[in-house]
Amino acid sequence: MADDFGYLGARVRSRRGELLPESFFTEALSVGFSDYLRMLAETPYGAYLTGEALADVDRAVSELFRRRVADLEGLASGEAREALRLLFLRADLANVKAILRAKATGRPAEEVRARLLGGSLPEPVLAALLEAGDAAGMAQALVLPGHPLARALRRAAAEAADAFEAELLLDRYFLAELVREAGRYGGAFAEYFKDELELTNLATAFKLAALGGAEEPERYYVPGGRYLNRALFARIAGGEVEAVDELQSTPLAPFAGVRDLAELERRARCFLLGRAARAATDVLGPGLVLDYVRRREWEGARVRLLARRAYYGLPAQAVEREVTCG
Amino acid sequence: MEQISPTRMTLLQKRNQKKLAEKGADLLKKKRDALVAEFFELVAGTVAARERLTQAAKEAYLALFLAKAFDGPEEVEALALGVAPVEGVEAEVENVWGTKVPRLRVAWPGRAAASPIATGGQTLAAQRAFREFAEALVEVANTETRLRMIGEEIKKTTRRVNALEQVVIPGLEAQVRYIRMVLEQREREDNFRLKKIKSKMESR
Repeated sequence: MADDFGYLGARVRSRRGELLPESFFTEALSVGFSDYLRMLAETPYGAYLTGEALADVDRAVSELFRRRVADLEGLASGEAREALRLLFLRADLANVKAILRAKATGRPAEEVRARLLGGSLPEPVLAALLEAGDAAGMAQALVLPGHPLARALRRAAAEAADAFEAELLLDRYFLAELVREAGRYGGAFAEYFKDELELTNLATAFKLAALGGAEEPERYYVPGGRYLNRALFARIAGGEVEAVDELQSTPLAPFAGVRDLAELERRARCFLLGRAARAATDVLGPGLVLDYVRRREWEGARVRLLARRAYYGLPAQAVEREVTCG
Repeated sequence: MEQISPTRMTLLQKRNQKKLAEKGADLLKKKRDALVAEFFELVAGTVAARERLTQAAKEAYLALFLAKAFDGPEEVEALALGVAPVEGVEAEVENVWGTKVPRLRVAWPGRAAASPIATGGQTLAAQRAFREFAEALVEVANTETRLRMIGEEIKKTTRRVNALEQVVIPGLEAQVRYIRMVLEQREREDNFRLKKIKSKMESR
C-alpha cells in the first residue's frame, strides 16, 4: 500500500474513465424503463444489475459505489488514508444518527441494520453501537477504535436534552470538526469543505424559513463560515430570504437571487462539483480523490433519478433541471 | 290479516295507532329530507377532500422519489426510524340527526423527525408532503365515513317510511275498515232483531 497520494491518484485516474458520459444522461431523459435498463446494462452498473425492478437499480448504484469508491480507503495508508476518511465520514454520521433515532423511538436493532449505509465502521463497532443503552454509551463505543465522530457524539450526548437535540448538536460538532480536519491539508481540498459548510448553513437557513422559522435559529448554525455570518443566517431562517442577495459581493455570489430551497440545492450541487473539479488540479494531494468521489455521488443520484423518471413514465421536463449543471 | 277482536275499543285503538303511524311517517320524512340536505352538502366537501388527497399523494410520492434519488434510499429510510408512531388519535362521536358519526382527531407530532442540518432539502420536502398526505387521508376518512353513514341512514329511513306508508298504515286502515264493517253489520243485525221483537210484541 502506498502512504502518499501519488498511488491513490493513479488508481483514481484510471477509475475516472469509467464515469458515465453526459450523453448517457441526455439520452436517458427520453427513454422508457426497459430501454433505460438496457442502456444501464452496457455501463459499469450492468455488472451489478441483478433484476429489472427499480430497487435493483438502487442496489446496483450502491454496489458500484461500494466497489469503486468505498474501497479506496483500503488502497491508501498514512496521510492519504486520513484525508480519504474525511470523505466517507458522512456515511458514518448517517449511521450513528439512524441508531440514535431508533433508540429514541424504540425500534429493534434488526430494523436499524437493514437501513444502514456502508460507512467505515467495522461490524463489532456497529454491534456495540446498537447494543449501547444511550448516546453516551454509543460515544464510548466509538472512543475505543478512535473514531473521529466519538468526540462530537460525546459532547452532543452530554449537552442534549433529547434525541432531536443530540442529533442537531452532533451535526453541528461533526461539520465544524470536519472543516477543522480538512484544514490540515490546505489548498483547494480544505476550501471545498469550507464552501460545503457555508452552503450547509445557507441550506439550513432556507429549510428553517420553509418550515416557518425557528425560535432560536442560532442553534442550527454551524460555526466556521466566512461569508454567511450568524446574523445573516438568522435573518434568512426567519423568512427574510431576500437577505441572501447580500452574498453578491462574496464567492457565494451564484446564490444571490435564489428564493427557494430546491433552486438553492440545485445551484449548490453544481457549485460544489465545480469546487471539487478545481481541487482535482492538485494531483499530488487529496483533491483528485475528492473530485472523483463527488462525481460518483452525483452520477449515482442521476442514475437513480432517471430510473424513477423512466419507471413512472414522467416527462423529461420533470427532472431535466435536476440532472444537468450549467 | 292478524286475528283482531272487532270491538269499539279495538277500533279506537287501531285509529290511534294509525294516527301515530302517520305522525311517525311524517317525522321520518322530515328526518330523511334533513339527511338528504346534509348528504348533498357533504358531497361537495367529500369530492374536494378526495381531490386534495389525490393531489397530496402525487406530490408526496414525487417528493419521495426525488429524495431517494438525491439522498439515497438507505438514508431516506433511516430517517423514518426517527418517526414515532402517532399516539394521539381520538375518535369523537358526533350526533347528526340521530346518527352517530365518528370523527378522527389526530395530534400530529410537532417536532421534525431529524435535524435539518444534514438532511437533504428533498427529504425534508418529502417529509412535509407525506404529513400533508396523512392529514388529507384523515380528512377523507372523516368525510367519507360521515357521508357513508348518512347515506345508510337515508336508506334506513326511506325503508321505514315505505314500511309505514305501504304496509303498516294500509294494514291499520284495513283493520279499521274491517272493524267498522263488523260493527255496522252487528248494528244492522241488532236493529233487525229489535224490529222483529217489536213486531212480534205488536202482533200479540
